[in-house]
Amino acid sequence: MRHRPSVAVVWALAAGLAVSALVASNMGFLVWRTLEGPGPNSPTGTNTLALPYQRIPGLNNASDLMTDIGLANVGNVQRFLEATTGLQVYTGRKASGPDYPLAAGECYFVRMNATANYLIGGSSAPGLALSLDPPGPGNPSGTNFIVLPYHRTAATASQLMADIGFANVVNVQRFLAPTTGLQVYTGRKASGPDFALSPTECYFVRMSAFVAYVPSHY
Amino acid sequence: MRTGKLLAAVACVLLLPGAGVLAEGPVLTVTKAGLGPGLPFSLTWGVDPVNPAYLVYDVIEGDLPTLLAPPAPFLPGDYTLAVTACLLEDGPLPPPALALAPPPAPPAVGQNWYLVLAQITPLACGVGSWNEAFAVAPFSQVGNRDPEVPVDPASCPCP
Repeated sequence: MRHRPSVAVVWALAAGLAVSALVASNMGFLVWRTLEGPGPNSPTGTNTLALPYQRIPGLNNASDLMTDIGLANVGNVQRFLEATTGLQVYTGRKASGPDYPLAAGECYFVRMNATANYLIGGSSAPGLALSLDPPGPGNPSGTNFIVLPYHRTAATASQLMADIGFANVVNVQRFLAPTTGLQVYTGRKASGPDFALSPTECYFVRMSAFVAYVPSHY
Repeated sequence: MRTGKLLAAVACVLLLPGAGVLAEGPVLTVTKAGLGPGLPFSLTWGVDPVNPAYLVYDVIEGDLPTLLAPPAPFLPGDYTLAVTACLLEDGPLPPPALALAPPPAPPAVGQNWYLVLAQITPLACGVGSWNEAFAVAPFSQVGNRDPEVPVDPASCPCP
């Protein structure tokens, strides 16, 4: 992996360009993702889904996401609530909880009724900072459920911890669809094994200190 | 062909007041014709805010898995092998939007990326930049894409 942040700084200084807070990118994506319905790979049909930071126009709410995937195939869309470590569920059907807006950098659980292939479109936002919160009133467990850019430099949980700042991260967890459990990597003594990160999946990051994290990307 | 290359080189040196200035990059948007499975996607982009006179555009397509994990001896993040197609050579500012063909569907699980570059003239020969990070704070792009994106010597800078 190439970690050369200083190169970017040198270019900027050489070009004489002022640093601004513009959030925009000249890079976009079209990426297939297979969302597993109930079966051997996923008994509950639950998948994590990472959308690009800049979604396609019109994809604004949980209901839009269900429509875009194909309503008949989707049981519900869930978002993680840091304050309670619970999930807000939207089914798009009778007696559903309220619809909610999608947010850049926020991950979603998509529970499928049947396996479907989803073509995800969008673009990057290289200036977007993810607020990674430690334990506190708004986030008692210090757990954050995050989306990384598709072209992120971190290829493994250990590299993600290093990119965030190892000392500030308690662990990185990934959702295991076959067991609906979590694989935990701490990077410390007695940690479970390191694991690879996948572009369209998301990860729980448990923090010990606040970091406004701007993921490194290629 | 040699004369063409020479003219292009001369243009790069003499005709471009912005020569040598790295561009921030035009802002790119992926659009879909509605919400739902099977609808077509397209690409639009805006004027490069740092170089508003750069109104000639190239668009390239690449393979995300190859970018993230290229074969040895290339390192992750190297664009050299990851570029797969030139979608637009010296095109105008949209509209019209650029239609995108979907990548290979599962089981192939195609994963494409797209980059747009702005130039001041069709003969700019890479005076623009494929990089994005110059006006973004804090800097988050790692590596320099420009020397890695292949250049077609007869038709710069698209591969």
